[in-house]
Amino acid sequence: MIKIITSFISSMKFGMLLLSLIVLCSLAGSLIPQGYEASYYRAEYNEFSTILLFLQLDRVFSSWYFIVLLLFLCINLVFCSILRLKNTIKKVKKGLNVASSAVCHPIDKESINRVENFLKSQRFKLYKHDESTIYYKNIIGYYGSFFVHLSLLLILSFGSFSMYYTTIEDVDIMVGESVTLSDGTAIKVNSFQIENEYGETDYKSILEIRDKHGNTSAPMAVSVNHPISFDGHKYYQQTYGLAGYITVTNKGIESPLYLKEQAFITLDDQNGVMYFEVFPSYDRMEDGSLSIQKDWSKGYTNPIYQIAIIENDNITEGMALPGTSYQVGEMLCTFNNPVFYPGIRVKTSPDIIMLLLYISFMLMIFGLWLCFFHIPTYVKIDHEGYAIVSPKSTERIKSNINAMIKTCEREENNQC
Amino acid sequence: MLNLLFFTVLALYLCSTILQFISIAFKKDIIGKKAWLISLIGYCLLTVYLIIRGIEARRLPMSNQFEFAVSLAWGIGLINIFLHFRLKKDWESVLVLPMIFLILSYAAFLPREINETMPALKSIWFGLHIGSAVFSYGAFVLAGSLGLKYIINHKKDSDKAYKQDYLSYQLIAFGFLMLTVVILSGCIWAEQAWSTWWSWDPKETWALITWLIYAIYLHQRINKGIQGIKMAWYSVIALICVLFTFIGVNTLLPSIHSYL
Repeated sequence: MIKIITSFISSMKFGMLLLSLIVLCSLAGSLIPQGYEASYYRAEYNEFSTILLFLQLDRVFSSWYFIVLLLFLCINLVFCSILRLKNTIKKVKKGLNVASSAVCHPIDKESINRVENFLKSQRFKLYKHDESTIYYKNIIGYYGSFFVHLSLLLILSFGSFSMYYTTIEDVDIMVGESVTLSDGTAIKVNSFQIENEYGETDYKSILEIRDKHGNTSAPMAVSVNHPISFDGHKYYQQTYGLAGYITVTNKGIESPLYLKEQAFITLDDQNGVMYFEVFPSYDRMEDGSLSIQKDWSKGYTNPIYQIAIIENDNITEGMALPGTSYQVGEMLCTFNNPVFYPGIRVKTSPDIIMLLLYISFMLMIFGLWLCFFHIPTYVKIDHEGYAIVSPKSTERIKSNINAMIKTCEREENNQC
Repeated sequence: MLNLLFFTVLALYLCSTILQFISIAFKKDIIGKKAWLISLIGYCLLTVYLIIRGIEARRLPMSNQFEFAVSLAWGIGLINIFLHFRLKKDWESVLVLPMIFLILSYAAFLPREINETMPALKSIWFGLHIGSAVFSYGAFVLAGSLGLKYIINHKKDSDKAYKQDYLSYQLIAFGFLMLTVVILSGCIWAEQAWSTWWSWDPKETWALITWLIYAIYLHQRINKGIQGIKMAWYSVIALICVLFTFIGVNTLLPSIHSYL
């Protein structure tokens, strides 16, 4: 019974079944939005939401059955590649013997010479066996399948390990300010730009990082596609935002406020200015009213604040342009030009895992290259003719040899 | 000027497609040769178009759906020319020329303005990732075309059908290798740009689905020796998956890969 089960688990049939099931799960995971609250699915899918949530189709890629499929795939890969390596090595060793026992296709002596010259020109190696000669090439191609399956197993293993042992922390930091992470690392943003000196969009922050031991780095630039590493962390220019910049003056003391979300600016919790958000632009209509533009993709050309003044239980909603001020009691709020700030992602993961992952990637490409472009081929030549022996189709070499023989025969006939 | 060049190319491929069909319908080889010549001229102009566009944009012309579609048509054309001259296999052009025309027609409906490249696309992996996608999808399109031709013609000429079937397999093998390069280079790029090498984004997931579908094809072909009509049908159905990955995902599914 155990033998039957292990035989099935190591079979190609089971492997193909697993791949098909992974395709189906992936199809579901790509077509159904993933990771939303249950209420979203109830609203979108009505009566189907119950079964959808029961089958965990809202989070297919982290569901128990998907993980089980991947585990079985790993087991299948171990059986069909690692444990078959011994057989592959035996096949390599037996290759010349198998070729030497092949029955040759009869051709004339002249053609035999031409075939031998052709094979030498194609850089085939030579092996003498009794009265025949075996030409062989691409023996390393036998290992192509092994490398491909091994690399897939390594990618699944290292990839899972990488995802499990990676921690990510996203921080928004105003320019000139510093944020301390949970492990004591402090990040300070010296500057942030959204355009480079040529006017091209380029999100770049200059950071100074102080590790938990108190060592401070030199200013380092981080931009999209160019993360930086320091003291075991990797820093990414992940995103950016726009914060309202308001100066609050109270009894001559100015306090700058950077507001990324709705906030109530007040001294006594009753009267003050409610900040809602900043819009990228506005148009002044003919009647003097303002038409707010909410499309930020064209940039913040004419920023404008949406606010409400709350004083003595009176609420006055309105808009504030940069440069305007509002007095509420003893507090003066001055609205300045909004400022951009970077969103920095801090990732902690073992560097060695990424390196091993990349090595596995290269191994896979190498394995596929061997599988498709380095097909092991043996050509036996004896006094009677030639025979081509290969574990896979050898259409190309067969047709090349046949075409060459036919061309020579035609030339001879023409000469006659 | 670029628009004029693009529509000239489109017109030339339409012309060559029509002439190709007339040549087959009336069995006139001379018309078929003219169709091939016109398609070559169209291909040369398409190459010029991409070069000029690349110079104007100051980058490889592959950064949005329009540019990728045009590059894909160019990639299919290049493989087709290689097969024609190097391998002397000219019978696959019958379906390839209409394919190129259809892809260019699809591109004609997309925004054609040259926009500034987004920061996420400014990477050393850009050329390798998207360039290998061009050749991967191109090879799969050609393989699917050959599969369709096999289905239509396999009973009339079994020798030619055998060659078409084998060539389809070779194209799928090449496309599979290229698709693997696409996925793996994409993983490395994603880690640098978004900090995570795999995020089950719809584009990534569909590229993986395509990869798995062709992996199953290759296992059946190489290990089980299944050939002929079954594999021809498989290559046609798999092509539908490729087309969905190319067009459907960008159009229908929200994705961080949607650079329309």
